[in-house]
Parts: sequence; structure tokens; C-alpha cells
Amino acid sequence: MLQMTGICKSFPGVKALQSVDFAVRRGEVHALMGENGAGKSTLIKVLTGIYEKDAGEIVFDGKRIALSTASQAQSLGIRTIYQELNLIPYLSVAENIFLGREPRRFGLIDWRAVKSRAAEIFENMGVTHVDVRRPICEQSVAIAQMTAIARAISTDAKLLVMDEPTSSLSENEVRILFDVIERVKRQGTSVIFISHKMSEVFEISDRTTVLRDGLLVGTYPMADLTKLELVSLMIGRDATSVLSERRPTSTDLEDRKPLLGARRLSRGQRTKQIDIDIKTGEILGVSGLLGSGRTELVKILFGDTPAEEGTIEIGGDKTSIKSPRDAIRLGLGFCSEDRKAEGIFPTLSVMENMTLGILPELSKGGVVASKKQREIVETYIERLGIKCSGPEQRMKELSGGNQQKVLLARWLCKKPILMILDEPTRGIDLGAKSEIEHIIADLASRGVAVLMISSEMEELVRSCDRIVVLSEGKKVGELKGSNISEENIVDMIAHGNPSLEGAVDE
Amino acid sequence: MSTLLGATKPAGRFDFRSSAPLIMLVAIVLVASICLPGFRTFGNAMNVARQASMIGLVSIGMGFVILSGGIDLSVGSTTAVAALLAAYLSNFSPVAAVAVPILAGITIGAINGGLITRMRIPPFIATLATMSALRGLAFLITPIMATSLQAPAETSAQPAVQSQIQIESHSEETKGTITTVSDGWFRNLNWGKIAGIPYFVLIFAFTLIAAIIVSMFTSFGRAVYAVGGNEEAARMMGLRVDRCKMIVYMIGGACAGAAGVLFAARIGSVRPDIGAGWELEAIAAVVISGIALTGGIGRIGHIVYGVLILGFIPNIINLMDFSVSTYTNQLITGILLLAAVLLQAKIARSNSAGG
Amino acid sequence: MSNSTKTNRSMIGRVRDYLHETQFAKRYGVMLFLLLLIAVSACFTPNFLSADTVKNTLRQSFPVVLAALGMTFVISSGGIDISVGATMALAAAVTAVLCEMGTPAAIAIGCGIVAAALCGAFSGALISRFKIQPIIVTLAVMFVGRAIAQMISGNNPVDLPKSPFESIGQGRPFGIPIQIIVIILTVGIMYFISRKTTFARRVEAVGDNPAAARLVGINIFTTTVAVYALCAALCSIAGIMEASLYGNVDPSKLGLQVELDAIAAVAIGGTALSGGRAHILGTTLGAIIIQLTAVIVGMNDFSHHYALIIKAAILILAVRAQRET
Repeated sequence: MLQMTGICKSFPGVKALQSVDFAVRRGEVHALMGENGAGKSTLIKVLTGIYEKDAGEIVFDGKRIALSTASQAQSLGIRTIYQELNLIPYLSVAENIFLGREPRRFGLIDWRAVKSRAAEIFENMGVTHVDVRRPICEQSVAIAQMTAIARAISTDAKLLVMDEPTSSLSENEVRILFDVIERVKRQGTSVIFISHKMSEVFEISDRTTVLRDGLLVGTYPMADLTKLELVSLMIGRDATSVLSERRPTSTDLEDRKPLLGARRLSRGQRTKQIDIDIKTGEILGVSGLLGSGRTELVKILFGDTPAEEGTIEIGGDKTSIKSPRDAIRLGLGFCSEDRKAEGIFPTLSVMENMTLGILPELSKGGVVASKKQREIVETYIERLGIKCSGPEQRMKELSGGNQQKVLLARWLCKKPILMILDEPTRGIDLGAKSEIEHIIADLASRGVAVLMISSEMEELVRSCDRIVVLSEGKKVGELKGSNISEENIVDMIAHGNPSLEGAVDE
Repeated sequence: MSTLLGATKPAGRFDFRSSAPLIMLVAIVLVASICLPGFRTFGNAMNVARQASMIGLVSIGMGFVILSGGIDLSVGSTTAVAALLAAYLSNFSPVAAVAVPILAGITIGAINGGLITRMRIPPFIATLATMSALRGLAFLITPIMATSLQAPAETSAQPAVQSQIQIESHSEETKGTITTVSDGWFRNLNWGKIAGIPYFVLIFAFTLIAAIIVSMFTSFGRAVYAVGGNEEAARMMGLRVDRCKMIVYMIGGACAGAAGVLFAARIGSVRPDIGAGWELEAIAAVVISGIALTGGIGRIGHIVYGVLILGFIPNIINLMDFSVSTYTNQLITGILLLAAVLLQAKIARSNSAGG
Repeated sequence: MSNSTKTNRSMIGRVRDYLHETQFAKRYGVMLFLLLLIAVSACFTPNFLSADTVKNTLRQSFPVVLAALGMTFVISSGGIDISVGATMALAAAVTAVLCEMGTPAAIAIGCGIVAAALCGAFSGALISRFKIQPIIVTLAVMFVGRAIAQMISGNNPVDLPKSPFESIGQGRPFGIPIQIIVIILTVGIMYFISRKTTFARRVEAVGDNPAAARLVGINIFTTTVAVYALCAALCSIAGIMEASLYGNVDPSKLGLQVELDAIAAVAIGGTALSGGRAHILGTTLGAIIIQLTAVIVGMNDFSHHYALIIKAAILILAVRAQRET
């Protein structure tokens, strides 16, 4: 059905895809796997016409094609169901399916036909009890997804790309989705399935292609792989790891005072009854594949999205954290993984970005003491090695890595007692990475607790005293001391249950 | 039939939001009918309706623009230009007096649309600029028109097509007035009725029905909702977003043009400063009728409720013998607007709680 | 930001790229345009370069400048305030009515300013607490505010007592019209605020990235309320002084259509409509440019209405030129 050979795509400074081959057979479900930055989304964007490939060949349905626009890809029968579900929330299910192509009668839209045809499509998909008249915003995410699929099918899609379709679905809803995919399969449509949920991938896909760092690792029939092998292929060994030594664990860790204790934190589908403890001066890592609920967990701790269930105690006192201001007041700090949306103030200067949190301390009577402010900023610029033309430079002009450093500095200024870092070294070059790791270690040695989420397991293995592993919203285990190793993390993720309990102390 | 249309007649909890304007209107009408004898007459109702028809037309156009997620501040000035054209041309050809202003309105709408879709100027700024420019244009063409009308008056002997020009000097400004022809079917637009219903009301009703049909039963109408609901998604779904926006502003301009024609017919003489503030009243009417400023939600048909509510207020105040009506009118409009929006916000929040 | 491979770039293309990269238009555009405007006008306008022109332009631009200064902060916070004209009328009306009832002028003025500030605070509170669009809230407040102003002053314009209002409106300390002095003072203060205070930093943060502002612990509610209150207070000063100039308060006319010029001034001055850095000086220059075009048109004996058209064109050009990508 689809044959992509030798696809190359580069962006300034990054080789996103290097000679990748990717083939999908007619009527098969093919999983595309790889961690962040592996090149999956770039490959898909090349396939759907959003990016133009630098080199390589695409053969679709027997014909060689050159894709330059998205609508071209769509007219060929390649349809994508995005994670954000491009649907109009206020319009009905039926209408979303037929938007732009509504059946007509005497020149006007025939709503009866819209309704009946939509119901028909759902029937063919095996989905029942959907009221096609109700708006999308009133429907569950599952139904919304079905709608997106229905729209794709109703336009005779030959190839469906599904990007993280199950991230917000309950188990029942996933079941329904899979039934639909099976049906669609039988009708001859091919499906490219992108997901990080191992169990689902194993259940629904026929074959899988694994990418890592822009290169093709291989294509394998699902039946030939175990979960462990798949995860290992995805993670691989990073040969250019600069620091391979584990940071020596402080010997008195057991005697440290507990700083924060959270019990049975739950919220929606993403966080299920999680217990978490952290001691002063401890570096606690949170590991798990994308979508396992790590960010959701820390956002609950920071008060951005309050928990539906569960309690949080700090220093022994029960606390109620309902907003970031509460959390900050209690001494928490938070560096978001999405710098652009939740971290930086793009048109403001480096200086302002860094000192926004400590303005009250820097000012008297509302007026900012600019000399003091500048001194602090310049100190951190030097300490963290922030490359910028000066404190006045606009934040958006800095590279991602330097932006991250500024954000770190922002929280360092506030001297928190617990620092939550979500992917602190994402998009940062190796040199800067080790600098940041030193800073984190330094923080811990001064008694600041650090809660760190990272998708790079060797980083966690290097820096953390303890690692909590999450999978699909649940905590599946903890690793301490000599149990900390990449294999063990991978093992825990793959098997989804704590096979290694507690700790063997040194 | 309406239950097939998703959020345009949403099921369940949303219902209150869409019926709120109707309830408000009914409440006002009931209370007023009971308390004010002058209110209950058919004549009074028609009077109000006729007056409200002008703003009503503008509001319909504004409704489309807002539904698509935009805004059009220039409709007031467009109405002024159109009214001037209508008054002027009425002295020559009644047909031109109707057609040309509307075409002018469409052109202005196209200019707005071009600024927004091609030059990527935010709608607020673009229409703010057009509003200003058109107002200036209106003042500039008035003396030209006035002078041109003056000449025939001196030579013509026919009393039936008599024109009058009044030019008043106000310090450094020259305000002119363009008077329409005093009889003929153009002016009759104002006086004429069918089965006791004034033409104006029929025109408004007809436009409203057309708007309802377009918004509910044409691909374009649904595209407007889509663009307003989620522009990115609409683009990804293959809808021609820019073309949709362009047409929507042209509709706004056409409606404003038509309102100008009606104004000229009703008042009989047009000054270039008319229509100021109409855009805000139209926005208020649209918002009161349940259409969200962000776009994608609401029903065009409900605009009639908003327009009538805003139209009845001065009428009621008049009938209650308050000595001054302009500011009480504004006061109540403002309060109603706030109440409506607060209500909508509360409903939206209780709906999304638990999401 | 696309990184197109630089193939054959024409001279114009290269210049355009350079201008874009250094944000040239944003930083110096307004100033340059003003200078250009002055230079060109001097060529064909008689008596253009004279102290009188400067005095007249600055004095006439007074209400717009003040409103635009307040508007700058509001827009910088990501909102908008179209009730500025009504606020002017309200403050002036309150002051005048109180004076009529015998209140000492200083207290009356104070009450006028407070009334306006409360109005603004009300707007800000509604906007932030209920998440209603600023344009709608301020639209409603505009209706209500002007209506209240008219209600309390009755049918006719209210006279202001000659003292001290005559000197407030027509005073000429050191021979300079008082409005110009107030402009200079206010611009100076606002500039200071915009560069040096924590308040301004918070406002800009809220406008630049509200989600991040929340995560940094900024109290978005109080910041919003304060910013709208500040804008209203500035407008109240403008309203009272304008009324003093005429000797009476006519609430149906005072401050009418000021909001449009104020917004245009802010846009020309470089503050992004979506929020972010507040360009106080840019706004001031923008307001002056708007007034200057009117003055130039007048001095050249063109009908005043050409100014409206030119203003529209300047607005479009300015916004276009300052667009990022």
C-alpha cells in the first residue's frame, strides 16, 4: 500500500530523518514507535504533505507520488487523526463528519440525510448508542475520536494515521476503538498507529517499525517481539553519553526528614491513586514512557490542576494546594516541560523572565532596584553559562537550551525547598546538560529536594537517589540504591507491575 | 429539524442559553403590555419594529461576522455612506438609490475582508481603520453631492422632483444634508404597508429568514460556524477559511448598505454623521441574543430577540413619560448587556465544570 | 519563522530582511515617521515649523494622549478598554455636580477620579473573575457610564465654577498651556512606571503569556483590576481638565470617540494588541501623529475630514509594518 524508501529530512541544525524506510501493507495495522525526537512525527508529516522531504521516494497505492501540500495527501486518501482531534466543538457529531461535503437536496443541506448517513457510518463501524445530533463538546473523547475516524472513513480513506488515539480513553473506550480499527482493517484500509502504550500496541498492531534518533532501527512482526525487546529497541544505548558514572548517593539518605508525602492522588484518566514521598535533599526521578502521567502528577503537586482525590502533606502538615500561588508559598518551584506555552515570556527580556518570581524581594515600594536585579541576573548568566547578548535580550531570540537555563534560574532565585523539574534537559546540548546536572546535584547537597521527570533514562540513572516508575497513570514501582539501572526501569515499564520491590541498601 | 443541528440548537443544558433572549423578550413584552396601555397597540408594535429594522439589518450582518470569529466596527460608517448615496441617487433613479448603496456596502466589506485575510491585519484594527476612513469619506462627499443637487433645483420647474439643500456652517466644518426626493416609490418604502405591516418590517423579516436559511442550510453557513468554532480545525478539514471570511464581511457590508437605504427612505434627509455608534448597538444586540463573541456559537435567528429587546427599551421609556430617553436607554442597554453576558458566562462555567 | 535558503536575494529583499531582524520598524518606526511627517509638511504648509504649531498640536492631543497612556497598559495586559470616553464624561460629571452642590473643588475632583477608578476596577474585576471578553465588558460599562454621567447632570451641560477650573483648563504656567505640562508629567510618570515598577512587569507578563504568569505566581486578578483602574483614573484627569477648558461638562459630548483614537495611538506606537511589552513613548508619539495629521490638514485648508482617512491609512501601515512575520 505504502512504500517509503530512503526518506531524509533535515532542519537547520537537526537531522530529523536519515534514510528511513517505511512500508505499510494493505489492510494492516502498523505501529510506528520511538521516543521523543526519534523522528516519528517528522516522518508522518512528510507522508501527509506538511513537510517536503529532502530525499527519498514515496510509492502509494502502486504509484509514485510527490507530496507537496496537505490537501494533496488528503485527496489521495491519506487521512490523519491528530491528538488534538481537529473537530469543531460546537457542531454536532454528524455535522463534523460531513463538514464541507454535506448531502444536499434542492441546493440546501439535507439534514435528515446527514443524520441518517452519519448513523449508518457509525453502525458500520460497530459503534452504537451515539446520538449524532449532539455537539462534540458534549461527547466523550472516545466518541469525538470515533467522529474523527468516521469522517476519515466516509471520505474513502485508504490510509489512516492515528496519533496517540488512546491517550485520553478509558479501558472500555479503548476496546471500542480497537473494534473499530479491526473493522476498518477488514475493509482494506491500512492504519498507522502511533502510541506509547505498550500493551495496546501489542494488541492491535500487526507489525511495527521502530525509529531512534532519526534512523530506522527495524521493522518487525509484532508476534516476534516481546515487550522488553521493543522497549530496548526504542531506548537503545546512547553511545555519546558523556557522564556514565552514577552520582554517589548520600549515605545518610535514610535519616533525612521526609519533606513531602502524597497519598492516593487521582485525577481523571491520567492519574490513578499515586503515592509519592520525597525527603529533603533527595533527588527523586520520575520515569515512564510518554503518556504515562508524569506531567499530570507533578502538576497536581504544584497546584496547577487540583487532585480529585488524595492528600498532600508538607513537613508533616496537611496542606491544600489549590493554585500555583499556594504551592509557591509553601516553597515549591516548577519548571514546565512545555517552555513555549507555560514557561517563557517571549517578548520580554531575559532579565524579566528570570526575575519575575522574585520581584517583590527586589523592589522597594513597587520600584524595582535595577542594579540589584541586574547583579542577580548576571550572576546566573555566568553560573549557568547562558548564552545571550545580555540581560536585555528578548527571550524568544534565545535557543531552546538557553531559554531552559533562564527558566531554571528563575526558580533557583526563589530558593525553593522542593524543585519540580519536568524534562529539564530536553532540547539541550550535551555540554549544557552536564552543567545542569551539576546544578541539580548541587541543589540537593544544599538540602533542596528535587523531583525530576525525564524521558532519558540514563540521565535519571546518573542523577537520582530514587526513581519512581509510572505506567499508564499508575505507579508501578520504585527503585533505590543499587537497583537503579536502565534495565530495571525498562523492565518495570514493560511488565507494568512492580517486579522489584523496595530497596537493597548499600 | 432544528435538533439535527448540533450546537445551533444544543440539547440538554445548553437550552437555557439559547432560550434566554426569548424569555427576556417575552418578559419585557408581557410586563410592558400589562403596565402601559399605549404599548399594547398594533400600531405601536409596528412603529417599534420599523425603527428597529434598520439596526436589525446591521445586526444580522454583524451576527455573521461575529459568528465567524471576527468583528466589524465599520458598519456604522458604512451605513452613513450608503444613506448618503441613497438619498442622493433617489433624486435621479429610485432603483439606483437602492442598488448602488448596497453594492457600495459589499465593496466596503470586500475591502475589510481583504485587509483581514490578505494583509493579515487583526479584524479589530482593520475595521477600526475603515470606520474612520469611511466617516471621513462621508463628510467629504456630502458637499459635493449637495452642490450637484443644487444645480437642477435652479433650472428644473417640476415641483415633484424638488430638492432642497441646507448647508449649515459650524465653525470650520461644513455639514451638509442630502435630502431625498419627496415622493415616489423610494420614500414610499417608509410609508408603505402590506396587510398593515410596514415594508421595513417585511424587509427585515425577509432578510432574517434568508439569514436563517443560509446559516442553517448552506455549506457556507456551516462553514461560518466551523471557522468561528475552531479556525485551525476548519482549515485542516479542508474548508476555505479565507474565502469564508471574505464573504462574511461582504455580507456585513451589504446589510449596512441596506440599512443606509432604509434610513434615507425613513428620515428623508441624511447628514454625514449618522450611524455613529450603530456598530456598538449591533454588537450588543448580537451578544444579547446569545451569539458568543469568540464565534461558533449561537443562532442568527435569535438576533431578532436582541434587536427587539433593544428596540423596545426606548419605546417603553417614552411611554412611561420619562423626560429624557437617550441616557436611560443607554443605561438599560448597558445593564442588559452585562446581565446577558454574565448569565452566559455562568452557564458556560457550570457546563464545563467537571471537564 | 521560516529559514528560506538565501538564493538570489534582491537588494530590496536583503534590506527587508535586515529591517525585520532588527525589529527596526518597531523600535524606530514611529519616531521616524513623525519626523518624516514633519519634514514633508514643512515643505508645503505655510508657517508649519513654529511654536504655535507645536503648542496647538500638543494641547489638542491632550485627551487622546492620556487615554492612550492608560490604554497602553490595558492592551499590554492582553485586554482593551473602549469605555475611556465614557469614563472621562463620568468623572467630569461627578466633579461638576459635586461642585454645584457646594463641595470644595479639590474634594470634588478627588471624588471624580475615585468614581472613575472604581468604574475601571469594576471592569477589571468582571473581566478577570468571570472571564468575559474585555470588549464586551467595557462596551457595557461605556453605555452605563455615560448614561450615569448624563443622569446626574440632568438635561443640560453643567457649569464648572470659574475658580479653580478656569485655571485648570486654561492656565498657562510659564507661558505653556497647562495641558502640555500635564502631558509631559504624565508621560514621564507612566514611562517610569512602565520601565521600573513591578506592576508593569506583572502586567506585561499577564499579557505575554497568561498561563506562564499564573505558574510564576502572579495574581492575575489584582493585576487586571489595577490596570483597568489606572486607565480609568488617567481618563478621569483628562475628562476633568477638558471640561475645565470649556467651562462646563456636557456628558453627551465629552470624550466622544476618544477610544478609537486612543486604540489607534497604541497600535501605531508598537504595543501588540495581543499583549506584551508596553511602549509608552511609542503610544505618545502615535497620539501626537494622529493629532498632527489633523493639524496639518487644517493648516493646509483641506477639509478636516481628510484627516480621518489619513489616520486610517497610517493605522493600517503601522500595524502592517510592525507585524512579526
